[in-house]
Parts: sequence; C-alpha cells; structure tokens
Amino acid sequence: MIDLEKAPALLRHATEALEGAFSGDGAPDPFAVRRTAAKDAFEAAGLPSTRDEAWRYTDLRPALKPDYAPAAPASATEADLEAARIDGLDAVRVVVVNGRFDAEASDLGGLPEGVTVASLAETARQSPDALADTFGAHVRVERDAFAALNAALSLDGVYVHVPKGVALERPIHVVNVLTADTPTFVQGRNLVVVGETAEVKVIETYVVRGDAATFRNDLTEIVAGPAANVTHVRIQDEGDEANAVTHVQSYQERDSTVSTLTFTFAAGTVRNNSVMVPAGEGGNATIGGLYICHGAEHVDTNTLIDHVAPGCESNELFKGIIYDQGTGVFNGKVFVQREGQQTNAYQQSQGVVLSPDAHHYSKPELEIYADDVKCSHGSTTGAIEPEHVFYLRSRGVSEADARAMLLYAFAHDVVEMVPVEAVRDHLDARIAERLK
Amino acid sequence: MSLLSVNNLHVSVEDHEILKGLSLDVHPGEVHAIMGPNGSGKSTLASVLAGRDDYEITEGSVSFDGEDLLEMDPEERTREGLFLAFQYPVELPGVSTHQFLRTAVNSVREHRKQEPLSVGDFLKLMREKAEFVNLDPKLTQRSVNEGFSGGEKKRAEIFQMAMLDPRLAILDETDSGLDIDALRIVSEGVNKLRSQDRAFVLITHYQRLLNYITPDKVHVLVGGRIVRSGGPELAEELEEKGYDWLIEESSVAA
Repeated sequence: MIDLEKAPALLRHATEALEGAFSGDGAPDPFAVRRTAAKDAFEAAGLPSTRDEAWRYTDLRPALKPDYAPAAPASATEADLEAARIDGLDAVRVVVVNGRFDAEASDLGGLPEGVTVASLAETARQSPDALADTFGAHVRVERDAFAALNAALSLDGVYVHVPKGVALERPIHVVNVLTADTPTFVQGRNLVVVGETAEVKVIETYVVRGDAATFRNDLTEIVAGPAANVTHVRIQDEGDEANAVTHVQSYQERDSTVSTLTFTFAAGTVRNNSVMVPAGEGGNATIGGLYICHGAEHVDTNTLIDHVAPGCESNELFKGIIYDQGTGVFNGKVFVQREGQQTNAYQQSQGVVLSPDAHHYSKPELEIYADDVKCSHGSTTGAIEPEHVFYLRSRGVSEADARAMLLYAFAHDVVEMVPVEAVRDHLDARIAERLK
Repeated sequence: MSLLSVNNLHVSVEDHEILKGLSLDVHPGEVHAIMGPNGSGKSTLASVLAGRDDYEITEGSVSFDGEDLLEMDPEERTREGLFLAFQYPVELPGVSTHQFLRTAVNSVREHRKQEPLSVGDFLKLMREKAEFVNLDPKLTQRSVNEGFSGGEKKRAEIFQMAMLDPRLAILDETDSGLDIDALRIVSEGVNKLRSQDRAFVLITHYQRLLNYITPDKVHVLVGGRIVRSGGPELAEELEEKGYDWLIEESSVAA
C-alpha cells in the first residue's frame, strides 16, 4: 500500500484524481469496471523502486520530486503546431493537448471512407461497443503500476481504427502538446486498431509549452488484425525537464506485421516499456530505437517480446549514444512459450559510451520453452573504434568530424527502419545536431 | 630539397624497439621501394609517418617539406600533402563514401586556401578520378569499403589518393593479397599518378609489385634499419636470393 504522507506530489494528486474519477460526477464512464480494477492494481503494486529487478538502474525519485499537478484542459497554439512540424511530412494531423483530443487543431481531412481517427473519450461515450474488445484488452495492468495508473486515470486520447482492407497511405501524425508553466503530469492514451490486411503508420511527437518539469505516463495499445501492417514511431525530444514512463502494448493476429520505433533525443528521466505479443501464426514483430543522452539524461528501455504462437519472427535493434553523465539502460526479454515453435527471434543492443561518467547497462534475456527455434542476441557496449577514427583522420577529416561521422553511421541503421522519408530526414537532421 | 627526410629514427612499441635508427630521403618525383621480411619494421614506418598512436619515438626526426612531421596531427599531415594507403583499409558501414570524401577533399582544399567544391563539382571530380584509376563508380555509392573485396579495397585506396592529390603517397603493402589482375589495376593507377611533383614510398614484402611500378630507389629494411639501398636491380637480386643473405650480413654487422 502507498503511504500518502511520504508519497511524491504526483501520487497524492493522482490519488485525489482517482477519488474524483469515481465520485460519480461528470459523464458516464463505460469503462468504470476496468478503471476500478486498474486502480486496485496500482494501489496493490505501488511505485516501483530500484529494489525491483526491472527498475534496478532507474531511480524515479528525482523525476517524481517536482510538485506536479494534473494537466488542465487547454488548446493548441500556432506555435505548438509549428514546433511539432516535420518538414515535408504529408500526414493526417491529430493534436492532443494535455491528454485531451483537440479536434479544432487537428486536420483530419482526406481520410479514406471507414477510417476513424477520433477522441477516445468521445468514442467511448458514443459507441462503447466499438472499443469493447480492444480498449485495455491486452495490457496487463497487474504487472505494471504505471500502466495501471494510466488505465485508471487517463481521460481521453486518440482512437485510430482502420477497417479491413484499407491501406492508409498518409501517416497519422499525433502531436502531443503539454502545457507546463508549473510542474505538470499527464496520462496520454492511444488505441490503434487495424483490421485484416489494413495498413497504418502512426508518428508521435511531443511538444512542451513552458519551462516547468513534466511527467508523462503514456499508454499506447496496438491491435493488429490478420495480415495487418502497423508502424508506430515516437520521437521523444522535449528537453531535459521532460520525464516520462511510457508503455506500448501490441497484440498481433496471424500474419500481421507491427513495428514500434522510439527515438529519444532530449529528455530528463525516461522509461520506455514495450510489450509485443505476436499472438497468431506467421506474425512479425519489430521493435527498435535510438537514444542519445547528454547531460544527466537517463533513458531506460525495457522490452518484452512474448512468442506465444508458432512461426513468428521478431527483430529487435536498440542503439544508445551516451555523453556526459548520461545513462542508457536496455533490458530486452524474448520469451518463447512452448507453443512458439519455429520462432525466429533476433535481438541486438549496442551502446557507445563517450565519457568516463557516462553509463550504459545492457541486459538481454532469452527464455525459451520450445525446442525448434532460432534465437540470437547480441549486446555490445564500448567506445568508438580508434582505428576507424584514425582512418578518417588520415584522409584529412578532423577528429571531431570523424567521430561525428562514425556516430551518425552507428545511429543511422535504426533510422532506416522508419518507412517514411520525411521522418527519416527529420531524424537524420536531429541526430546530426545532437552529435555536434 | 628533400620532400621527406627521416633521420636516425628510433621507434618503440610497448618498450620494444622496432625501428633502430632509420634514415631515408625522398625527393619530389621519386619512387622509393622499401622492402623487407616480416617483422623488419616496414608497417611501423608507415604508421609513424601517417601519425598513428601507440608508437613512441625515442630518437631521431622526420621532416616533411622542411616541417617537423612528428608534431602534426594525422589530419594535418594529410592536408599538408601526405597520404597513406592502408594495408588493411577499414570498413565503415553507414559512412557514406560521398559525404566522407567531400569532407576530406574540402578540408584539404581549405588548408590549401582553395574554395570548397560544390556538390556538383565534387561529383564530377569523383567520376573523373574513378575512371582515371579504373574503379567501378558503383563502389562510390556505397558505405566506405563496406563489403568490398580485398582488391576493391586497395583500388578504393588508390582512388582516394587520386581524390586527395597528395605530394607524397605511402603505400603500405598495397600489393599484399591481390591477384595478378588486381595488382595490375592498382599499379596502373599508381603509374598514372606519378608526376614530377609527387613522390611515392612503396612498402612491400614482394618484388612482384616492382614488375609493374619501376622504382627509382630500393631500400632493404632488416631489423629496424635500412641495410642496403640501390636501384631497381636490387629488387631483382632480392627476388633471386631472398632476404636471408642480408639478414645474415646485418646480424654479422650488428
């Protein structure tokens, strides 16, 4: 149980909000049952600490210290939209401000017939049946206190539904704005449901308006139907006061492909949890990311790929570049259940550590209960290869340029996993800036 | 005046002396071959001249066009006009050959107080030089040396040399591991780049390379010293007799 006297402000406010959410006022909540369960799960679990193996390298206390208040309703400004712009990206734009869908700032023109991009709360009120099988259906709140907190508290978010057979060519760009004149926390929520053979690409970016500390606790659920194809890309680049715990949960039916990629350039303390479940035969799950940590940035990546079905493939590639007193953590688990015969699972984690005070902790885990599988994992942490630097210098390139070129090359193959050119260009430019 | 002047150079690696008083003078336009058995210090010489770390110079000096070469960073040496073709060129996945060479060429040009090349002019230069040294232009579209065969890597080194237009090129066992066709192509590239203003130091174990590139001077390096110098005929003598007679002679002398 949580001792509220000693608990951080976020938790006190969260608990108050929880009480409010269940006081019966406001709009009817079709998911009240799930909220109650999530509230109970959260209270049972309490906040994790570094004594928990899964949180060993990430101490959330400093990030939880500011006197966070829940984000209040607000609207996006022109400046917010400008800050979120990705040059050359032709996308359906969805704007979320302080966790609430901002219909006015969104630009949903040109969506094909049958495709829904809407407020999650609105959808839940108007057609709760549409969400009954998917919303909160796969996330295991009893295993994750933050996911539980989100499930209990999130008020709104983005609902994307692409029906059977529709391939959405333009990506959906979700712009998440957070106003922070004072310390602010928010529970962001997305649900992406993609029907049989349908396709969608969702790009998420984040903007903070204001200088105060922020704490995001996001939960994104992806449900991919048979032979569906889903790409999910996140670019975390809000500045060193932006703290986050995020959870991506994907559930895949047979022959579907889901890819979730996370790029972290500027952040305070960030923990990114992902759970991918290729649950039908022939599924393909890809997860990747790049984190570049400066100053005291702390980026912790925790992944689980749960092979519960036969004949699926998973590919995992994470890269970290750590400067200054930064910390990168990678803990990736691949679980092959007894039913997961003919699984191919590949995992790679690579870190480059560029200063004596920088740290990278990498822990790959394979747990295999099937006897006919191909699994491999590789984990390297090191410095830049001196012979490579020397080769470039011996061609007249300065040492600084040589190092930047090599780091850029190191980072670039994660960028190549992104199937949208404008986003790749944006990432390349940001990487080049961060490596200067 | 000498372009390169090495005087009584002593070099150690981890307290083990490799070069024990090596002297060498190279004038503009000359091609010198430095031959020697394994472990004689050939590659150490190339590495020290190019500025690789981990070598301790305990005695002697090296000047390049009158300036103290040993004081310069590796990139500075290259900008001054020295080029080392590596024995083992590294593969750099993800580093674009275009971007890398444009940075390299422009940093050399900047040092020479020339305007940087525009993208268009750079691509033109690259096409010309690739053709000049008979390099498949497709290789320049790839990452630096990535997935190249041994022969392609050595050809790419000669191509990079042509791009950077050095005054002194050091080829560190560029012939090793090459089949006869690749050796011919590499040698042709070098011969085309020979000029009155450009000097070469060819470091090699085998006389074979010198069938294609006729040196002005041949030096035999044994035990960290040059034990004999001569003209091209010395290489032929080595081909006939091997290195043993010189090793014996030098150990008697020592």
